[in-house]
Amino acid sequence: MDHILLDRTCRLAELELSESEKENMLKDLENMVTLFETISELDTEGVAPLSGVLEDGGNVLREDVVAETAAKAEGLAAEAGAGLAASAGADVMAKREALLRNAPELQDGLFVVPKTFS
Amino acid sequence: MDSSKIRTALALSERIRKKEISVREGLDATFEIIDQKEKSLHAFLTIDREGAYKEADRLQEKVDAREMFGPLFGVPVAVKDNLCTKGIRTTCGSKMLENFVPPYDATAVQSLKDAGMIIVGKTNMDEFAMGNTTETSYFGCTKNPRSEAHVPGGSSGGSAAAVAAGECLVALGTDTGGSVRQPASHCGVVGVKPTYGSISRHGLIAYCSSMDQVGPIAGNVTDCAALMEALCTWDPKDSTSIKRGSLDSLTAVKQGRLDVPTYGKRGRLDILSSLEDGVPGMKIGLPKEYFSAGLDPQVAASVMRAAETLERHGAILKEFSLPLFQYFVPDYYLIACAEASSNLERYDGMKYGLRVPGSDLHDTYRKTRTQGFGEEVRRRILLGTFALSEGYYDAYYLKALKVRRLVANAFDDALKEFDLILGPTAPTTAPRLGEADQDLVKSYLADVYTVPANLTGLPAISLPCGVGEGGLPIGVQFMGRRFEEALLFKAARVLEKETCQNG
Repeated sequence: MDHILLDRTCRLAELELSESEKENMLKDLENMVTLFETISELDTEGVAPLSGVLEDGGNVLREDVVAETAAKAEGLAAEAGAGLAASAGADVMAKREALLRNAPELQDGLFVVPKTFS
Repeated sequence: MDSSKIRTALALSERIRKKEISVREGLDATFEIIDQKEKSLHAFLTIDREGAYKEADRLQEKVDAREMFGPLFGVPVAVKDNLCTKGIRTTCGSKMLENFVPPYDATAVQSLKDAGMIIVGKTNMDEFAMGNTTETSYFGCTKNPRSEAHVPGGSSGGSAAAVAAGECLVALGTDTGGSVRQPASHCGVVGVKPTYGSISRHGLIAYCSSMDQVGPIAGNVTDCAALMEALCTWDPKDSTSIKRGSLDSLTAVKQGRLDVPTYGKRGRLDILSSLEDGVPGMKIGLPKEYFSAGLDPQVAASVMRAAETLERHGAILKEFSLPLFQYFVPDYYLIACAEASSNLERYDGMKYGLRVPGSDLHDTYRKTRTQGFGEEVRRRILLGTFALSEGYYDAYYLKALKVRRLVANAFDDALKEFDLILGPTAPTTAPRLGEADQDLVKSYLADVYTVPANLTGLPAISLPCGVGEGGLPIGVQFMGRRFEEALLFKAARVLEKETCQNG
């Protein structure tokens, strides 16, 4: 680990470090990478990587069915009666609002983000 | 009757269901203790008094109407702040999510509600669950209720401290490398990391997805078992959620070595009915490597006494050699940091969470992430990004995954011979506040006893087995075969009856 590698890694991770932070971080990362490197002593020839403990069980699949949408909620409620349709629609709107309330910046119910293409 | 005298969740619920006390009275006792202790303890980040009382009134109507309820009905519970709670701020201990209010409940939280439990608040934790002292929380550390000069452990330090202090009788934590068991050990309570896939991760803010697992924390083994039963459900919203009973899809079963897990009525996990069965004939392995240098002699002595207790009750003890001991920690941290760097990529300041405006898009990303994440989180993201980056991937990340298989094989082999593996939960009692910061690598190495359960997906329990210097609790840990949590609980119960006056 050196300054060039640290800078590259920061760039990839979209993180910034001040000059003084860099010195400390470099030391910490070096210590950790030294610890990491101890596993290189092990012979893993022919050993298959294990990325998750359930992976050998095969993939888990299910039918791709719509569970909940504004239209579906309204449709279901419409079957039950007009009054419920309005309340189901309101529920979906409430959920949408709850989601959007976490946005840093909004305009007309849409996320506002910095210019993505120049 | 004074409900603050009730020491177990099961007893509290029983009194409520028998209408000896009201749901509100049970809650009063909880908030009374929270009001007394929270100022110095700081176990909670958010307390939802209003919501809790509203729920208490709703539940009381059910009691009055004699509608059916479970063994934890009416019991107040605390939830770690990385589990989404609808309408209650969920910060993950980070500035990044300081004002995040989830529009939905995590499945584990829903399970609590289904069981008729009352969420009293959200507990403090290391930022994004990265740490083992609760000191990396953006909102300040939690104190150990047994000694305020010491940390409660982490990352579920708030939940463990809240239970140990009596602020609530049970709590939810999450365990990626020991984050339920180690704080349970340091605070003198019981904590379980279930078999990977037992409890849904839907709504759990991801750190290391292949190892993250929700776990129950309680003041005693029986309450912990009851909470575990309430939490283990199959969830179609989590593709790694296991349908207990459809084990044929698992390697372990293909290898023909697993017993079918215990079931109760309605196909749910059943631990309570065999809890008092004892340990006669149970084969318990003690890895020699666990008792080597680095283990505090007082901890070693306590754990050995626990082993002897089990032997007196009919268990068969045997020492054995467990390979790869010194590789557990580097292997764990390599994989955990790699997954963290990938999982935390989503915090870009666009749709939710902190945004620090910059000169352009990338400058906004950088400023947001640099100011939103604390030092430990940035360190782990950088380590993981490095391990996954071009030119280093094979030597670090891929190598770590291969070693992970070797570790899994080593434990599978050991568990062919033994029903349980016994060891300490942590090499020392709780460190002093600020101590972990002095030596980063040493602090990571202290996770050596807990990380194997996460690397392998095996279940493990920690419970108190004695006290060390300054009256700080010592924990003992059992690891078992996949889906055999019931064995862990049986052994834990035997030990608890011997060592704990509340047993």
